[in-house]
Amino acid sequence: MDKKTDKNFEVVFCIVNAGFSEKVMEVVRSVGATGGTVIKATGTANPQAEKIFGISISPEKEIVMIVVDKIIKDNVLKAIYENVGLNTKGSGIAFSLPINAVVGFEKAEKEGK
Amino acid sequence: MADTKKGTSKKKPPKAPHALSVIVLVVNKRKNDFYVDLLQENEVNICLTTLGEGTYKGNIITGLENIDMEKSVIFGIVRQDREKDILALLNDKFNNVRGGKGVAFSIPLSSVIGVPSYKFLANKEK
Repeated sequence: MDKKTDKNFEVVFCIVNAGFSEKVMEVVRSVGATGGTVIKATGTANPQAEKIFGISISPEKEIVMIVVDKIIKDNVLKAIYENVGLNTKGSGIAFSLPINAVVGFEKAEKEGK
Repeated sequence: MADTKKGTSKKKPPKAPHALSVIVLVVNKRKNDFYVDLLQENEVNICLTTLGEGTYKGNIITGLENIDMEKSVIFGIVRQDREKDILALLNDKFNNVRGGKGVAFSIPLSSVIGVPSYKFLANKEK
């Protein structure tokens, strides 16, 4: 198992409108993240809330899942918020979850994935 | 008459005997079945697979192994006491199985609703 496993990493999930995953990767790489995985998804929104708040939620989504070192997590979240956040065309929401342990990540980093 | 006394303590939900974790695997799509079988052989009773795409950013692909951008993202739930062994096993496969490279990590699970569901996820009858 990797030496840096024990709770040094977190996973960032970023949900953006379809077509913005590349932008997400561009901004997170600029603050030190390496690779991520993109999952296509369909978003659901309360139609009444959309009417009340005057917001239209595009249902086609991409989820970008990025494992990051805890040291850069805040920078990653901030970069996402500023560049593809809710007040941008990407309408992105990002959150992080703690990781108990991780394997394969350092090797993937070395290979530039 | 309903008890309206302030400060009445609410019943806390019971604490489960075995903590659970979510294991997330990102592997090449063509190895999906291999890894799902591996997890199921190791007390992971439920697996959810979804398709993903890698974000590899390379200029020149060298060597014989192609970079497979199509990924399977597998979510499984397992007891935390099995987590370390499963991750070690996955790491071994990542390093030794051709085309089997991947990343796996575990996230602690805070709550489950329903005792039958919990027993199923924990793979414990009692």
